[in-house]
Amino acid sequence: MICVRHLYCLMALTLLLPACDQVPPADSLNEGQLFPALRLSGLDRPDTTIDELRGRWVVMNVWASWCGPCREELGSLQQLADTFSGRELIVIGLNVDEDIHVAREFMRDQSISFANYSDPDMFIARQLLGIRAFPDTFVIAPDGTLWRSISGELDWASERVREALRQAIAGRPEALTTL
Amino acid sequence: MRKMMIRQRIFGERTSGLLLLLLCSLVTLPVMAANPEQGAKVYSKNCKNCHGVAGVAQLPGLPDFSRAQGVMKSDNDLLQFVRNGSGMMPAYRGLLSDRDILDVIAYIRTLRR
Repeated sequence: MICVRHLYCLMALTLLLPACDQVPPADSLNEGQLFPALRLSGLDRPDTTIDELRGRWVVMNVWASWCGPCREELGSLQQLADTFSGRELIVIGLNVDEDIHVAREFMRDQSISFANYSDPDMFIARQLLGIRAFPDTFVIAPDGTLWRSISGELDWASERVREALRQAIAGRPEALTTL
Repeated sequence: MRKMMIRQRIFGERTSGLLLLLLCSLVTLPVMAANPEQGAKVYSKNCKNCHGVAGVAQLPGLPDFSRAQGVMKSDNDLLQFVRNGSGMMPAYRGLLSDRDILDVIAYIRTLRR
């Protein structure tokens, strides 16, 4: 009978397994709404919260080392981070690699030095931000309002993008709609 | 008599086990098959904005699925492509299940005119 019970358990598990990845993602964030008060676990620095970053524009990129377009985009984000002082605009990354060591190694290889945080189980990405694809980048105003949500790769080092961000810093955030 | 009972018990357990395995197979197999109808729903939610309603791309440089562009690859190759992204194509690993992606692949294979 023990074997039969085990088989019953096995069958139940077999039936449940396909449902494991079926947790529905949250709805995507809408531009204009307050960005969630995230607690961010440091990948290469201490933990922080989104609230601690208030008072300046935040460009938050969600990426993974296995994601082709994310890898392409990171270099331009580093250039963007180098362009602006952290007082007016800060670039941060949220990495969703399961293995943080892989992410750290990748950052070292690519000389990525802007602040990065880790979301290895994609809880923040899926459940709090409702991300639909990688990479995804959020542009958050100094008061915590989400101004832009950009899905897919963008050349953040281009003059067009930098000018739009300069305009936003100067008090004309409407310029971000051109991104 | 005792030997007979033991034999019956073993036979009974084996039979139950085999029946359970058979049941598992019957329940699991249809779930694993790619479902283009389900794929159409996932496509509509996640892919349509760029790849168009009937697979006719909305952006330049994207394949036209109605002319079978970009789909002359194995399901596994396409699965990896969608999971990890490439160029303009974002990555969906961890956001769409492999089953959802395979359903989408089955769907876009039906778009050829």
